[in-house]
Amino acid sequence: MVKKKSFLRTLGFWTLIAALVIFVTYPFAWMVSVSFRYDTDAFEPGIIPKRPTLDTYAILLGFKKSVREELSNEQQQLLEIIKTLPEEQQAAVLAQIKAQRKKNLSHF
Amino acid sequence: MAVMSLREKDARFGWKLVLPTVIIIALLILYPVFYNIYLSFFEVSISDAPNKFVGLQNYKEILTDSSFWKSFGITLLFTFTTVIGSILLGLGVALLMNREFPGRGIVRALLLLPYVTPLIAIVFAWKYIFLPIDGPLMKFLAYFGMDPGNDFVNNPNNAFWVVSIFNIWRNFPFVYLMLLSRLQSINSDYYEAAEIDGASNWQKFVHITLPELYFVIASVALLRGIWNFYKFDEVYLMSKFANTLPIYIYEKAFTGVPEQGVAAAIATILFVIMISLIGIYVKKVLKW
Repeated sequence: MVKKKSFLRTLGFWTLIAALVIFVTYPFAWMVSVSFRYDTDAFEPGIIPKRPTLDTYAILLGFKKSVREELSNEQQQLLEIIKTLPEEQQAAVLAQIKAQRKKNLSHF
Repeated sequence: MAVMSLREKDARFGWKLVLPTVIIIALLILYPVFYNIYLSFFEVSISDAPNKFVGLQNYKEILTDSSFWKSFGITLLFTFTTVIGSILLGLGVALLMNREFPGRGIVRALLLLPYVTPLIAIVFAWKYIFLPIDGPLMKFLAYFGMDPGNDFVNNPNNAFWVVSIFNIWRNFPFVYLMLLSRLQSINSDYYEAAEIDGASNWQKFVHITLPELYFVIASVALLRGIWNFYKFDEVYLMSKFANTLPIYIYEKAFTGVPEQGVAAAIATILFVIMISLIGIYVKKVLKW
């Protein structure tokens, strides 16, 4: 095939390709971008995060505790309180807590 | 013992071989279908009480329900819009990608992204795009004097278009792939012959490309039509206000006071409509 290529045609062609690529990849790029942000920055404008972080991946893979987990570490606090009790009482209290938990769970 | 001819023996042996598959298919496909039809004649109870037979009451209730007809119309419109939209876009993209240009490989790979990303992740990305005030689309439209406070996704009047655009975006790569693979196998001799006869680009497209693509386009339209007519996940996750029939069935069956008998009747009606439409389509368009 012989074709005379005018500059305008080439420009139009590449504009089309660029528009297509943006149309296709924008939502995906945004998804990737948000995955590198802190939760509080999620709705910041722009596709490149201003404060990039790997936090979300660390939380996902279990290297780090999320805020939600840290706020709800009742278990840990409870254990620490029990440790302050006299030694002979510790076992009894733990057993009681366990029994209580079981009772609460059985409702479901 | 009766004497069997070799042919009969072969036939029996063949049946024995396919029997396990036939039974599994019957259990997995036919049983739910018939159970659904059976349910549609009952008032299904959600407690231990037995189902009550009500005859055609469920069907009567649906066919006189104006909200059913409304969502039926929306579903038809949704199916036509998305099928035509994704085929036009897919055809355009396939024609573009059929040319040689530097970087074609990477663009072709990127084009598959919408189809392969997990649905829920990409739905959130799209919801962000349509987000009032902060969303990029709203900010862009604000340059043209539109109120950026519009909530497209949760407005029942607009939800339909949002869902359609999203569906076209997500599914055009499928169409594009099918069409591109056919385009690549068109013999270039046809185009050369046409050029010698002095055909313009448009004439080449209409008289060579389109006839060659006819059956692929028709098959893809059929597949996309079936899928989108019953599409639940993409529609429901994107907007709960799009109100197509699968969502209507879901709401009837599982929310508020469950009316599973009615929902089953709607599903049966859809099934009958779809079967007859496909039958006509396959005969007339695919010319089987």
